[in-house]
Amino acid sequence: MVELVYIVLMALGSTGAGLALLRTVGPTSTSRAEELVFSIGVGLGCLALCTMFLGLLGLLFEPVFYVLLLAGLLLGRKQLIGMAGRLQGRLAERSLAWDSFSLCIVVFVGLALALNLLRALMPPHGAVDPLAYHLALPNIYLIKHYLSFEQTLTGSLYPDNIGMLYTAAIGLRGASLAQVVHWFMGAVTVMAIWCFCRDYFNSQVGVFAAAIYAFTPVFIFFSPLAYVDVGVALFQFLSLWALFKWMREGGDRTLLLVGIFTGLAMGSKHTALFLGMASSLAIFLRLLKLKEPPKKMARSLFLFGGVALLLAMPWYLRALIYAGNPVWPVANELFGGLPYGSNFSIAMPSVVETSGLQWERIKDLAYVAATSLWEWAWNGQLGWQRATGIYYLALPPVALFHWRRARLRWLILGSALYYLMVVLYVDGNPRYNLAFFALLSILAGWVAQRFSAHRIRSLRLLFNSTFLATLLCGLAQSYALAYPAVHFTLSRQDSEQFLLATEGNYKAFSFVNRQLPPDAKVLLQGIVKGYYCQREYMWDHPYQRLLQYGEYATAEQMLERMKELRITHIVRMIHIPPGRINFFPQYFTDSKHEEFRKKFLKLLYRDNGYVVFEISYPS
Amino acid sequence: MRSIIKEDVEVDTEREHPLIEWGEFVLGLGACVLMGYFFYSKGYWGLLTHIWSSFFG
Repeated sequence: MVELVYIVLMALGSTGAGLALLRTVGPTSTSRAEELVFSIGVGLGCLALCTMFLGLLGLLFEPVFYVLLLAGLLLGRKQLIGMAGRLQGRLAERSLAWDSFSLCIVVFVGLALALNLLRALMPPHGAVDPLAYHLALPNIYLIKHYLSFEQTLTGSLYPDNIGMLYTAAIGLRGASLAQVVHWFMGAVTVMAIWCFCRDYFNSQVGVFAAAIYAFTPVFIFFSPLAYVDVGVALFQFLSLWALFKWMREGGDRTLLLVGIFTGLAMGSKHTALFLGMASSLAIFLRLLKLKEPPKKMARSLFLFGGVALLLAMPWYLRALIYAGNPVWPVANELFGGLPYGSNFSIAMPSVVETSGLQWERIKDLAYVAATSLWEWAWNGQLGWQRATGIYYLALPPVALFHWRRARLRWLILGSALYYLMVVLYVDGNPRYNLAFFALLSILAGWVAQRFSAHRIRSLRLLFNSTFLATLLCGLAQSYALAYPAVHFTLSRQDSEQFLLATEGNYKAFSFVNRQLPPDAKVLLQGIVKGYYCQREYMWDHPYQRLLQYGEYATAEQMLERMKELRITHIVRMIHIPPGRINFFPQYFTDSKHEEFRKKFLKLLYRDNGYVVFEISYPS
Repeated sequence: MRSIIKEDVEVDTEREHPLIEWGEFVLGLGACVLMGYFFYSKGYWGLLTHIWSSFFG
């Protein structure tokens, strides 16, 4: 629970820095809410970039993060105090102005976010990606005090602004705080959606839209876990909001803000590059429509693109320097970087690759585009990352009746283009594209508000009661997901006991952390979730190219390679489950590994699932 | 965008075409049925009753 104090401090520090920066370089805000949300976004980005530079300089030490927080608070102290006073007054007025139905929705959203927060406060466990790299890499950076290149870990050269926030969070308190940071970014996105709608439509539309986004199953599931996608969506949504603002108001400072958020998003995940390119095109077309002189057009495009590239560039340069490919290991066929065992091609959409003839391709693309939203909503086999719920299917089509309304028309067009980009180019994975759902929730929210205030009373009543019932169902889902967290919070179990009971490799890694010398280097066999290992380690996942067992004919050759890699110990999963047998050998039944074990491995530890060996090198 | 908002305000003051009103009504009913069916078919009713009984017996 101490994490709550830390997240408040991080939020205040970030907002303070963001307010101070926006006052210097940002545009004039149309509302306090807009100013607050943009400040939080800029402040979080600032914290991420500062952590990145500290990492590049080899200065990732715990006290430095306290200095960063303090600097943010000091920098924006006057603005923070002023804003707190103004917000207090505004919120008091607004709560009186809200009708009881809107208040009811707000209470539901608040409860859902609170349940998500309980999940975020748990020790990280279960989910693979956070323990394999989203948290594991920041942990390694903190152990080494710099942004090292972990060649065997997936994602070690991905743009990682969100990972930098996790680095600061782990440095300040621990991995639970990193989860709370991700949850916080989700909560800010919900608030941002409400603020956006409040400025562009009205507060009621905002309440509906924010609720629709907050109750999107993929958001509910992932926001309290230390993935990066909810954070990326925040930066992307803020860039879209700033873009709308620029379209409406113009101004170099607003364009600069679009560039800042686009750069922060591109520095958080490769998928944001697509939205960055789409934004560039939108800006270019807008400038063309305004018939700006070429010099001014070039200046505006440079202002947007230059700032965005400048902010994202360090990550891509880092990848280029280490691996010879700015987006390594993606598009290796294009850049020819360090060898990697999987082909993340960007040449064409996956559906296109599978078809031969042109008309077949078109048919496939049209089918995918027409059915994805339906599939995501109904097909439970697709898992949580594609669980988008029903609102996006049931409500937005009604907006087509109101095509004449220009704001809706632009929103429909923007959403449709974004949707096509998502399903045809960005992997068709809703988790990677939550900003699209943030945008679509606005359209759905507008329709929901229209039904909610419909002049036909029976429809109004039916819609309101159905919508509340669906929110209740969403809340039940949140509660079901948060049940272990509720149980954990109410129990006397501490984190250590909880992890020993729930996280399979925790016992083995506890042994490693207690017994192995600080300079030990561990090879993880059949394991990628290395977060709880506090020693230097590497994977033996087949995608990495440092240690390929098939290249060594004898146990002695394999030993020689391990010596070159300075590996001193091995942590091995005893039984590789059937689902992973294509990736890892069944070590204890594999003749080569058995020969190696008998000749060179000394057993140090064993539990039901894992063993720890020491490698005996001949002197 | 200013002009867009102005244009929207003008549209807001106009009366909707009856066909649009009728279509909207039908789609509104359809949306309610679809949302209700979705949550029912996904087993949320069972989840709700389970949670209810865990609290209140």
